[in-house]
Amino acid sequence: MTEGDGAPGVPTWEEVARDHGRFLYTVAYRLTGNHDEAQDLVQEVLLRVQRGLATYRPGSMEGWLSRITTNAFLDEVRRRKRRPVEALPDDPERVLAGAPGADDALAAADLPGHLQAALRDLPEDYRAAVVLCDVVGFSYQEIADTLDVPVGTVRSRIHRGRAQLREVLV
Amino acid sequence: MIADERGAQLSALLDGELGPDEEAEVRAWLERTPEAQAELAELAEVRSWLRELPPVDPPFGFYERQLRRGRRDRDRGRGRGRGQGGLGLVAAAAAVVLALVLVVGVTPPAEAMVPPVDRYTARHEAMAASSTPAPSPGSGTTGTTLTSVAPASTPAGSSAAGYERVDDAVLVADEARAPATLGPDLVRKAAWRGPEGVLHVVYTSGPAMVSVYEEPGMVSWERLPDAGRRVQLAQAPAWWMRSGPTEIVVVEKQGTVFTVVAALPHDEVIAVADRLPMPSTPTFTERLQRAAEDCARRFGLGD
Repeated sequence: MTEGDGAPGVPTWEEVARDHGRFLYTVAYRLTGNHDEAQDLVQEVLLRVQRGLATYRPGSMEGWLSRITTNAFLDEVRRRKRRPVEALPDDPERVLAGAPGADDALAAADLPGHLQAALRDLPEDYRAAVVLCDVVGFSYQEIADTLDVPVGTVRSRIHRGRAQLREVLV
Repeated sequence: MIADERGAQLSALLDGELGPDEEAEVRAWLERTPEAQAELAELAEVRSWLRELPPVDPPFGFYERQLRRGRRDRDRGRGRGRGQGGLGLVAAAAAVVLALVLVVGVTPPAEAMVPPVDRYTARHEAMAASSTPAPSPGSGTTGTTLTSVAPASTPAGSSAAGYERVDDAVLVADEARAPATLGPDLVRKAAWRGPEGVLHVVYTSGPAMVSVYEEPGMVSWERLPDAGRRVQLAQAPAWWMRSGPTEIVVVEKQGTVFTVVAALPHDEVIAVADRLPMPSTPTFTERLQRAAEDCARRFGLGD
């Protein structure tokens, strides 16, 4: 199970989980904006990690995971745009009012709810750039390499994303 | 409004991404442009908020689901091939499951199940009927004494067979699964570990008593008793039934099934179900550690 065993500096899955699992989920959640999609995204990332761990070269594991996560996220965005998903109708017979769910309560507790909502409302390209910059801590060049776009485009996307958040939040 | 290219320079300035010449030019422009200074301050504020966002833990129950699936896969593996190839498949399956659990615990959805609401209700009603009002320690008010009906490892009636009392110290250490309070009034009194890993936690508020049964899985709604009906809570699908004075609500949240049983007004029981689980979940690292240890034990991979 430890695909990295035997190669100096290459982590095992256990080490990836122990040291970077929470980081991975955080990036996925900030990109998707909700737990359901974050779990789906992490699942896809795990598959890619499983395939790629043997070829991982020692360096920034979190950087590597961030690139995989962001690309998986954008792949899914593109896939959905090609094949829009129609939501199923609700089938419960009635709706009861109640307090917000635990997950939402958790989200609201760890940051102002409107900030997360505003982040989720950004266009995906802007959101990815902002998350990579302000959540992951990538440089513009690293973001450009991850997204395969020029640095000037990264600069523009980050600014437009922040400016849109500013319009909503400030 | 600052032009887009100028604005992008302000963001890049905040990020230290301007070259020396461009930075000098932008700073000179800032000196003479109050509007740009204001925008820079606002962008800096947004940037600061984003960078202060805390880490996010996976939802409650995430790891429990994977462990359940891991046990099932292990059992299936044992029932199949016994030759060298079979053992290899078992080992491979265990490794994959362990790896998935360890990394973030993501696998296909948990299996469908039906909580035994009749048994849960009978157990709750037996305990409620046997409980005696008693002073709450230090409060001077009346509470409910559960130890008189269900001391440690002692079933409270025939429906309670197989339940073992969970030590209070364990509950404190596993606060996320059995929070000390449930809303403003309900206080945890005791908990039992039952068959199939179900956790039964009893809360009281004065003479009122609420049972919460918690177990991993996804509800097969259509197989619940016909006397009940599907409902939708604020954020989770649920099912509701009344049995005499007792209200029963089954609610599924992120792969964890809760059955709430109480002889309380309907709205109060619904409110309790809506508040589950409490948000005081353990950290990702703590749950990861527990999952790894449990999985290693189950697969015999370590001490």
